[in-house]
Amino acid sequence: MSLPINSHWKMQFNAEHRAILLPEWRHSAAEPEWGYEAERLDLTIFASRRYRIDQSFAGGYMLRFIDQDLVHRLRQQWTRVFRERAFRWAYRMAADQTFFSDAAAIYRWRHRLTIEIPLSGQEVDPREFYVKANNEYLFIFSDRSPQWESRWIPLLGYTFSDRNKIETGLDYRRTGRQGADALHNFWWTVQWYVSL
Amino acid sequence: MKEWIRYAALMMAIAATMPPLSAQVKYEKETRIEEEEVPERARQFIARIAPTKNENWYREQNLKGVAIEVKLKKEGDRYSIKFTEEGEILDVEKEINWKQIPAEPREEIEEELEEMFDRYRIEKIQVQYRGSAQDLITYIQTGKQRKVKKSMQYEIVVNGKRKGKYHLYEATFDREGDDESLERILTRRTDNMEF
Repeated sequence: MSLPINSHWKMQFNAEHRAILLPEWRHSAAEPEWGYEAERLDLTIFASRRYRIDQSFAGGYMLRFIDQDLVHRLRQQWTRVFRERAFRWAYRMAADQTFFSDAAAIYRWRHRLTIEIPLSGQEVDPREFYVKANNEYLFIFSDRSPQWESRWIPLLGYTFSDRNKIETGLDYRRTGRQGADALHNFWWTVQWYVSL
Repeated sequence: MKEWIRYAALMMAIAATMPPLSAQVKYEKETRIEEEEVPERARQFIARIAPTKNENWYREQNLKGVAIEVKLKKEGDRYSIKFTEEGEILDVEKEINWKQIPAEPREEIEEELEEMFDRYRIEKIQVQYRGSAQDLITYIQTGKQRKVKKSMQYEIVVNGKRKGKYHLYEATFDREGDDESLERILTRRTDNMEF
């Protein structure tokens, strides 16, 4: 949810919930059954300042509720959105620092490319569908081994109005680890953007 | 009646979201349409300038009403050709670059832009012609401007800073380079590209 303060500043509030629909399978049960396991809830607040017409700087704080524990994360990001003839694309560079109660902090450096293509016309207008894709690379530094992660997120979006849009699709994450096999994670994601 | 209600709703939505501005506001909503939905007269116009490439048809809702627009390429040039809903030709626009504007109007436009903006960057330039269907077809086919020259206008999309704020504008100049109008282009939100 986005809350414009003035023509330069806005606040952004994110609430993200992640659930697992085959929890027994995750815990290596012999015969998995459909279920529901609330894995985490992230609440984030950002202050964002627009720079020129196409760029923004943002700083945020996230509080994560996971396994009856609390995780704190700070994030700083710069985004530039490019408007082309029949699509938009954006580059985001970010850094975040995650702090745990019982483990060393994790530092991540992130680069993300996003493309948004309207399925009707040259711009995404109200009551129109669009496709969006994110490709992000994360470099992860911690007291364990350094890791890197790539994320591929193809989404189908629908815009009710310029202030209200919804996106859904696959979120694939591949985490490479030094001296171990890569981890592959598939999530189904639904994102709802509202601007006040 | 339905069109009138839609138009009034659009005006109210824009009025509710806009800060006061000295420049007017430009709003366009383009929806892709199939060639079968295009008025016969508009299709005939395009048939007469064949061969063309990459033809895409749109229904455009703007603050003045509804228009039919085709975007196409012909001999390497990009055109936008606008018709009424009945298929009557309204105007022909061709994308050009800064150097293609003759020196005299170009200097005039540069001076005008420097007066309008504290800082600016040109994003797109189109030259626009109006006239009879036959005269516009002659211009597209041969490049001869004699019969449509009087109507010539330059439409320049500018990323510019005015009164301390950056916005996207469409500035229009006549063929001498004198400014005709300045409209602020409404840009879409980028929340879903940032977070």
